[in-house]
Amino acid sequence: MKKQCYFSQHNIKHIDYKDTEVLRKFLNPHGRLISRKRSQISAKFQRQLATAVKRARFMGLLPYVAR
Amino acid sequence: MDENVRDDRMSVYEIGYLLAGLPEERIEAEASGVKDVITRNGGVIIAEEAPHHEKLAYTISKKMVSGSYDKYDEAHFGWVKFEAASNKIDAIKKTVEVIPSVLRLLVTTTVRENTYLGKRASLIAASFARKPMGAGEIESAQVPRREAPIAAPATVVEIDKSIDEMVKEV
Repeated sequence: MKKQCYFSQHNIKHIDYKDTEVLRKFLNPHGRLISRKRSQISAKFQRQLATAVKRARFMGLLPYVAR
Repeated sequence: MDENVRDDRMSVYEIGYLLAGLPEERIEAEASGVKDVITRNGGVIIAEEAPHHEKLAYTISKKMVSGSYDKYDEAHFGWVKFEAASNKIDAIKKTVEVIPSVLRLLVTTTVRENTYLGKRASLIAASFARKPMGAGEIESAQVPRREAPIAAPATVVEIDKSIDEMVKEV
């Protein structure tokens, strides 16, 4: 059975770049974004997630590269 | 004329900033300085969070007046959500940017409703399986199964041995 989108499950309407704990769940150990195939997020939220991660990286809250 | 009308439209913005190279007691004054800039430009503050200490994910360097670079591994991160006219946001950004203690500045458009999960985030994050493919679950499920068949014969053999020894003794 196909897994439902994580953000719609938790009733999150907007992804905030400050919620780094949530964003980290969608990064691999190198700090790169997990693909949609693996993350199973809807296209809309995957786009929002990508923007949020990039913003968090700029502010030094998340790494550009890790390990 | 239409363009002028469009320029005055109020929108919701958020400024996130990093403060560095300041003593702890001056952080609050600097944060209120940022808010002053917003209110002076006709902005109305909706929500905010006072700067808190944050260990940075990477070293950020900032060019000083002397031409040398200062490197920072930690900073204070704060944010302000506010409503302002779209023709004022550029002025706000430029004014905050030149504050010497501001290491990084990020201006984003956002919505009036609260988007920041804050403490709720850790609870939501905890409910999420690290591996969406379910690989983690399979691994964890297999561990006790592997152990059980190995453990069971070992104990049976041990019991048998001990029984044999007891029988011999008798």
